[in-house]
Amino acid sequence: MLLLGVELQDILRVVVGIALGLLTVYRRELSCNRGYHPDDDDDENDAEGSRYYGSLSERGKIHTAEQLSSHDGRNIHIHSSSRTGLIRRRKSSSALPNMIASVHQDDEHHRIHNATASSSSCNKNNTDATEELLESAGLSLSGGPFLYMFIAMIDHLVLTTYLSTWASVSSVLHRLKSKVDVRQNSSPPPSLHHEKSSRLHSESRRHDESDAIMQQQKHQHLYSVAWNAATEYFTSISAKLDTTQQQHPIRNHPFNNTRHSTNNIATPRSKSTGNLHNLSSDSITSRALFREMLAMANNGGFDVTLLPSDAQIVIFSYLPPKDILSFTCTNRAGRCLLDDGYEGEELSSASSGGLHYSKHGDTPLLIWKALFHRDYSWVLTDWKVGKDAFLKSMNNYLHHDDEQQQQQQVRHFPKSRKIFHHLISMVASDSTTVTTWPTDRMPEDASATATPIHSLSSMKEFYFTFAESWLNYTIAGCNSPNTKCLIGLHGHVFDITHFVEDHPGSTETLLLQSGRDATVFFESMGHSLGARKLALGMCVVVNGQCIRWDAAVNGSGDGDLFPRNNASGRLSHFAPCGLVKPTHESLASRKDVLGFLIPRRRSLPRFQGGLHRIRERLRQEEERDLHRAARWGNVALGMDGMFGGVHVYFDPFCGWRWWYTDREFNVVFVTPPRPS
Amino acid sequence: MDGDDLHGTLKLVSKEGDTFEVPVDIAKLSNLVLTTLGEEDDGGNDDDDDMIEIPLPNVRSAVLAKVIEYCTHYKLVEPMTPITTPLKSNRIEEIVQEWYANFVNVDQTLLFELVTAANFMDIKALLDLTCLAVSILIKGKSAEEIRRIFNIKNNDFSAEEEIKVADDPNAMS
Repeated sequence: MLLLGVELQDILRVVVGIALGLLTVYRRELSCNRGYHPDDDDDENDAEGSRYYGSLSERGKIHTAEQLSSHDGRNIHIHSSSRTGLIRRRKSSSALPNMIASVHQDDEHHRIHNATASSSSCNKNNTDATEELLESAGLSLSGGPFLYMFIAMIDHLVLTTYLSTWASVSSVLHRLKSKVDVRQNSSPPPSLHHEKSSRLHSESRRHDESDAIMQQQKHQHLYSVAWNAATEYFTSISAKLDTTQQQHPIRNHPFNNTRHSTNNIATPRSKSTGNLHNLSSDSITSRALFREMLAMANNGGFDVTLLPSDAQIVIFSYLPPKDILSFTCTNRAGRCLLDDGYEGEELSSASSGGLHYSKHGDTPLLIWKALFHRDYSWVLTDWKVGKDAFLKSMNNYLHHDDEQQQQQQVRHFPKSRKIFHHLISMVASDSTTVTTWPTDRMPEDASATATPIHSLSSMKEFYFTFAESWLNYTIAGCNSPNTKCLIGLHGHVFDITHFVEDHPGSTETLLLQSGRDATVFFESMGHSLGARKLALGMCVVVNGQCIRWDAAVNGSGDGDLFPRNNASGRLSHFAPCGLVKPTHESLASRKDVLGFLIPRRRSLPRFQGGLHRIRERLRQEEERDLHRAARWGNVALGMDGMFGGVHVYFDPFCGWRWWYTDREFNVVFVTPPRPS
Repeated sequence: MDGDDLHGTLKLVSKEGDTFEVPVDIAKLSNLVLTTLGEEDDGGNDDDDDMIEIPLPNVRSAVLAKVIEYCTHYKLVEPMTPITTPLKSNRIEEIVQEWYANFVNVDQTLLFELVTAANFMDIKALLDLTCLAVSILIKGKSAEEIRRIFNIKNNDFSAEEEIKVADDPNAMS
């Protein structure tokens, strides 16, 4: 009961404090406005003013009336205050009753007003309305709000200290009184006030003691409330000052800024959200760790670029490409270490690039090779479809005519060959590939003599190009219901060979769209949740960059599907980058994977996190090639010669290639004719 | 002879000249030791009395002590769980056992030396672990943060280079 009373009292006090603060702010504003809205039209006659009596925009009459009333003094004053209300309505109508109610404050206004009125009567020429506006604007711009805040704060502080001192005094009084009571226990009650205590005579001693303790507690509580309110005020004000003045230095940094904006505007994509998610989930520990690391860094340096090459390769092969790119941005040494396209630029710009290049040798190439091996290489070696595609491009590579080779002299000739050699040896070193490899044409020999058709400027470039183009490259031409029918949706590959006949929206539609990425078509047709669930069971390649980690974490009740790291709450089966072959267990519960692999409802295609530069270039080239292919198809085949038009894809080894389906459903691959 | 070798000890000599007596089968985690032992065997084992000494001129005593601690734990207590790549967690405790996580919880200079020593002595598991510790430092950080962590002085990129470089990781979605 008493506790509740205390709380109520405190709340009341805080409310009254705030109200008083607001009142003060308002008062100041009013007086300031008065000051900056000088009532200039003294010489305008009263008759004209009376016409506008009570109008909101014209205040001349009111002021003259007030001025008149100021002679009369107090009794007309209330009248004038109601006018003030009228004037004020222009500013804020909600505060109007307040103003009228607080008549006592108007005394002050009145005085100020008189002063301004008299001063304004001195400079009568000041009749310009725009000047009025300008001046009032100047007030609010010159830090006025802060002044108000400050005044409000001080008001509140004064109030709370007043209240607390009052409370302490009252408690002291109360204690004194109770002592007197105790002493007067034997004597009859002298006053009406003490009647009550005498009536409770039998238990008064104990009761009074507890009362005193209660009082003390109350007192303390009051103090803490006052203190809390004060600190709150301070922090809120200082925070406000911080945000307006310096805007947070870290936010201002271009890297962070752009990252924030991309995350806010574009829908956050799988990989980065995964990272961010994870960071925020254990931000406390990582923050502490970060501080430790900072302290360490101040003690002694640790230069990754000076480590032995093998160690560097191991270090970076643990990281997703995004982190590696971040590291490239630290300084020149980091860029030289991690970007094997960089020293080419350096050499061409005739600076000290050669030195850097010799320092790191093939390390950048090997690092990206390790990453490629980790993320993508299995598609070409272990997956039958990918292997076929690779063999196809190797054949194409070996058979392309010399004339073309001569014409496509590659700028990075030796480098390109070296990269190509690395790639071939990596992919071909897999035993399964070697068995199917045409023995008479070992790619090693070929790469020693021939140039790849497509120029490979750097391994990093190749990594990201492959990341963009692998889907259309590997499943190109897989649109036959008899052998293999594959389709790409939201970055993943689905095997629909056995589903084609059962597709509700006709088999032909599916065959027309398969063999390439069909996300746009899939979404434009609008597929139900059931259809999406059905598709999940056919997934054969999962693209780690097109996974929605948040969907998986939020949307699933049972955590047994994917082995989950308990601490971070993330699914550990799939990597946040590269391609993964889903196992049967990982796709066992389709409900759980939905939203994780493909969206639950109609949505834009999920872009994988590649390099924007490379994606843009490929997109432009694809547009150009589609155009060319369509024209070529019309001329060479005619409208009846093919089924569903000519499709294009980018072969990371050989460049752009075309394919189409003829009337007998045979897939025909075309090496695009050279542009004239 | 062979049985003697397996259960015997050998001496590792650090840069400062301190010798560490290590059981042979523990020291054999290091490929450097393994190959050196092979050569020694070829060269003939005339005097069995004095132990084989392997000089490690690149490794400080403090670092060598750490390395031996690692190898002993690896051999006698529990082998380290193989590290999967790419990393699926930002926390080292979730990737390897606690002991190993604490083992690399050292200051950067020592970590640097451990990486170098592991590379020099060719201890695959230790190299993996120390490199993991370094990559954890880098993982999920912006370029600016990496600069601070590794105390990289002001970047030496020119202005237009900075712009070109800066679009790289941000172009990642």
